[in-house]
Amino acid sequence: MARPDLEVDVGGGLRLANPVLTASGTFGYGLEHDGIGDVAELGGICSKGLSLAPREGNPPERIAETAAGMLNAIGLANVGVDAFVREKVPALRERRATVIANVFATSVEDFRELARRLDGVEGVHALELNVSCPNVAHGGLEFGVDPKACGAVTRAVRDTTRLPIWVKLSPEASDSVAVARACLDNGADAVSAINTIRGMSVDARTGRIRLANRTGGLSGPAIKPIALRIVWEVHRKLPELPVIGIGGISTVEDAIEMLRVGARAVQVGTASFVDPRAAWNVLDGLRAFCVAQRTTARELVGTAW
Amino acid sequence: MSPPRLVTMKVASNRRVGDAYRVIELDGDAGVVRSGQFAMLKGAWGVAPLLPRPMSWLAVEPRPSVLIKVVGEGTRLLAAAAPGDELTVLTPLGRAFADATEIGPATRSVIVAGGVGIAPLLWVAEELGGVGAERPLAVYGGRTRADLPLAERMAEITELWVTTEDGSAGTKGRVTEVLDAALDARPGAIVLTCGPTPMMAAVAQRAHAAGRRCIAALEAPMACGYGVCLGCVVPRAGGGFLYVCSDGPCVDAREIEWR
Ligand SMILES: Cc1cc2nc3c(=O)[nH]c(=O)nc-3n(C[C@H](O)[C@H](O)[C@H](O)COP(=O)(O)OP(=O)(O)OC[C@H]3O[C@@H](n4cnc5c(N)ncnc54)[C@H](O)[C@@H]3O)c2cc1C
Ligand SMILES: Cc1cc2nc3c(=O)[nH]c(=O)nc-3n(C[C@H](O)[C@H](O)[C@H](O)COP(=O)(O)O)c2cc1C
Ligand code: FES
Repeated sequence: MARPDLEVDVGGGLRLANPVLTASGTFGYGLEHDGIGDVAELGGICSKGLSLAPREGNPPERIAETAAGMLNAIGLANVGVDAFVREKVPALRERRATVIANVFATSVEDFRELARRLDGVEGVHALELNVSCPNVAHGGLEFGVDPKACGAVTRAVRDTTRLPIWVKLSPEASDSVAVARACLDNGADAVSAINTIRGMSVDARTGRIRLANRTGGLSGPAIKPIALRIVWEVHRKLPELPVIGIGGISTVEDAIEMLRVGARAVQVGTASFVDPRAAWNVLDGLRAFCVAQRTTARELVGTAW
Repeated sequence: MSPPRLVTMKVASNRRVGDAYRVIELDGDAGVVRSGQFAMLKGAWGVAPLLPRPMSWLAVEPRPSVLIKVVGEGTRLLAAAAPGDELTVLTPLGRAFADATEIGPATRSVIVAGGVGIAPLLWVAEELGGVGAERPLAVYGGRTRADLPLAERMAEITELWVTTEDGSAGTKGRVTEVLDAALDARPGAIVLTCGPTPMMAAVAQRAHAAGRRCIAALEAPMACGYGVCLGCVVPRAGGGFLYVCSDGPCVDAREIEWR
């Protein structure tokens, strides 16, 4: 097949070979896919959320399926940033992956320290600040729903690293544009949207609340309309700010819709659980679409009317 | 371990076993699979349910096959699959019995199955009861005689002791009723178990009390089956968690914090 132009500029000097990435927490560390697909082909992969110290995460049950979606309360189980740099990044470099390190902390200071430890690490191409995790007792959402707090985190990280910075928005902020503007004003290169939305699941017969954490983050096809709306709002008000669209993307049509409402790139999340090749399939579909329509990924961005 | 692949397989046959169980045979290559490993299965039913369902491989020769117990929508749809229907299958997944312990025809064993937990144990029983070897002793329990799918097959390859809670077949009671006697009948035997978690906890406790090793094939709700969602945890002895899809399903029962 012809090679259409899929390259996208996501700000901060970072150009991705194509706009299809995998979402944090749904693709492990990008090393679990040998035999499934070549991670170098993807626009990028976002690591599982990294914290300063390793975390064991929440007790079971951690997941529950819901209508056209799922709830998760993993609790940010991860190997910790140092083990990531020591053990995962070299293996990702060998596979020539474009790596976005997703980081999580409960204080501005810890966000700054995470950025410091990842700054200059060969093989890490950008930081994604998770200020919107609904599944931890402290820190997560408080930053993500408040423009001032979010701006402060962004500023601290900006002052610490030259890596491109993406801030991952919560769908629970009452004014996503205000949060995105605070990120932009404080040096973010892009925002990614959206993280999961808090929900819960109860067994009608027994009354048992299914997740040990009681509540969890909703993801999957069920949240796509919300994601489209938020990406569209942010893009319309802040067209100069690159937006990475996330939420319920399973097929190439979903990805194109997301580009059309203003995303410059997309992340495939829960769909990778259903089909480990989901991100590659979206990419193949996008390539075919651009050839057939004689267009490029860039030309699709913001064409919803 | 060979890496998992996502393959499309056609249903070759679907036969009823007992009242509530199905054995589905598939046409296709399940990869290099060993007993205790599993697959994630999904049909062309879109987003309801969204996620694939984990199923142990019952066998891969002559055809890949699974034993299904209907407990909800996913298993209902799988059990209703007709010959010719296509399923997507991610396989092989997880750690096999042989990853958790030495296994061979010379391994003396007591096998303890609860209901549909028979699936991975039938295959390992065949491996353990190889030509000229002592037959494994199997204890197989269910609520009633209808909850003992494939008991006839198990009886062909093991010395089979059956228990039912209502006494409709074998000894009345749970597997633990006869477990101590089974352990006495096979001195030094390793215990392999699969079934409801409370049953496996009780089996592990008795086995350990008798100084035996116990290998359990665990279950947990799963989203991905291949180590990326971090959803499938069980508490690990001494703190932290094990991931059933990648650290298991077959693990030494001492590694688990049974509750
Ligand atoms: C590694 C592994 C191997 C497995 N092998 C097999 C197998 O060989 N054969 C087989 O039939 N099943 C097997 N299972 C269990 C099977 O995956 C689940 O029963 C299935 O996912 C349930 O899906 P559902 O949509 O039908 O039910 P859901 O709608 O997901 O659940 C319906 C109800 O059943 C309950 N439930 C869930 N799982 C079970 C269960 N195992 N037993 C009883 N109730 C349950 C749920 O809590 C819920 O209340 C295995 C699971 C794992 C993790
Ligand atoms: C099991 C699971 C774990 C996740 N872990 C993280 C995480 O560690 N950090 C993060 O920023 N987002 C995490 N997310 C959110 C996803 O990256 C994504 O924003 C969200 O799932 C919406 O996309 P989707 O509908 O395509 O899944 C997780 C999502 C799921 C389902
Ligand atoms: S099922 Fe996803 S990590 Fe085990």
